[in-house]
Amino acid sequence: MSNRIPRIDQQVFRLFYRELLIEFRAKEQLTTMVIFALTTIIIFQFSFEMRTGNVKVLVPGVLWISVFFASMLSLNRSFSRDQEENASRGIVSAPIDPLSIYISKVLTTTVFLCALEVILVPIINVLLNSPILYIDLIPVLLVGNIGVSATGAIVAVTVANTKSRETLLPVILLPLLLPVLLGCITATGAIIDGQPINKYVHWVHIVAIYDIIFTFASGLMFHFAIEN
Amino acid sequence: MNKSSDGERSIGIGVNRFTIFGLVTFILVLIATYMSLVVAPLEAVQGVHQKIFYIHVPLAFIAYASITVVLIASIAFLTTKNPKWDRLARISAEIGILSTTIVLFSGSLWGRPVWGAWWSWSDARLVTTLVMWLIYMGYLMLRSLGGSNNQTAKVSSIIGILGFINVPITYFSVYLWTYLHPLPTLQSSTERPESSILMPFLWSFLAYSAVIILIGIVRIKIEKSSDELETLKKQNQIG
Repeated sequence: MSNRIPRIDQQVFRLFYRELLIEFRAKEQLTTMVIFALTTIIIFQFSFEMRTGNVKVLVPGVLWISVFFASMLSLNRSFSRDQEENASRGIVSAPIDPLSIYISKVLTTTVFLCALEVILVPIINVLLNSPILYIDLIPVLLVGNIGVSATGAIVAVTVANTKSRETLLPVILLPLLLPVLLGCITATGAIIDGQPINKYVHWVHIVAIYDIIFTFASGLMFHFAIEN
Repeated sequence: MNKSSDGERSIGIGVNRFTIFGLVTFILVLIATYMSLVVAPLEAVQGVHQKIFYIHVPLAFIAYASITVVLIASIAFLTTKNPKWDRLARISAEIGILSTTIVLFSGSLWGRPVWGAWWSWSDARLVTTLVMWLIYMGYLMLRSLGGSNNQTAKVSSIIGILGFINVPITYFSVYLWTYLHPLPTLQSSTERPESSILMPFLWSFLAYSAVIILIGIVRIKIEKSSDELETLKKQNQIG
């Protein structure tokens, strides 16, 4: 049997496959995310309909806030599950690059958020009676999901060993994600309003630059977060 | 108060040096207050409300400088594992939060009579300063809830570094988005600023920097003593 240590791309693939396999068997994270996001949308609908009578203007905010809060559930669950089953100790002890752990977590969260949005966007289209199914929305959703995942993964692992990780994660993560929130909501609103691409593409660029910076910085520092 | 032969009190603060520095700071604050309230002329449009800038602007610089110290100390701690850098990062974050709180508060006091509103969400610099405050409050909460151990110090350093990435956005938001905030007179004017405005700003900057340094020195000494006490406790438990 070969004792060769897998390359980093192989490590990423195996860890990513592990995450997907666990979710496929347990069907826990994605289901919870969808139900939670759906509940959030319904609450927003009732809350704002009473005051504005026109919830359509709030659709970009409703979409992204639901996605953000659902991502908290996913990130918390992803790291706490590893800790509960002592899998985190095994992963850290294995001869694998911590960067591959980080990349696999980011990929997993991004995939889960994309899956959530595949379900959520048509539901918003129906429930809020607001056209939102535009192909131009895909790049906005993608850069937003990557930003949430890249920053969320590093913050989730930093709070994983604290007393109140469920409380600390949103407290620390949401301010860091505000540039992503601003950019994605603005771009989504511009797409829904039918504005030309030059009116919102710079927001996509800003979020993409944020993604690059935070992915790079988080990848560099991830091994400090998981080492004992 | 009796002093030991080396002039240090039992908690490690040099009374003579510290007292002198405290007195100098007090005098600087008096001078800065006089310069800004009496010597500095009334601004033509904003009137007396503009005077709050002599607190607001120096503390804004101090807030950004504190966050920069958090970044440098966090990087230094991650690379050297020396606890003195962690201590410096922790204290700088506290000072940054204090300064940012005063900046936000004084900015609102200025905004109410000049803008007609306590707050403006369309002003990018205001919003990102608030975001910076939130990030470093989260940093301090992480420190508080994570316990005083090496792992908390490491993960706090990571958050301190990531939080700093927000600081350039705060500073350059003046140039990235449209906003209501006035252009900084000292930087953007094509004319040389009058000495009647510049000197009060410089005195205020000097005075409030001294105040912050004084607070920092006291905090460092307290934290150092606290860390030494923890080490002694652990040694006694092991022994």
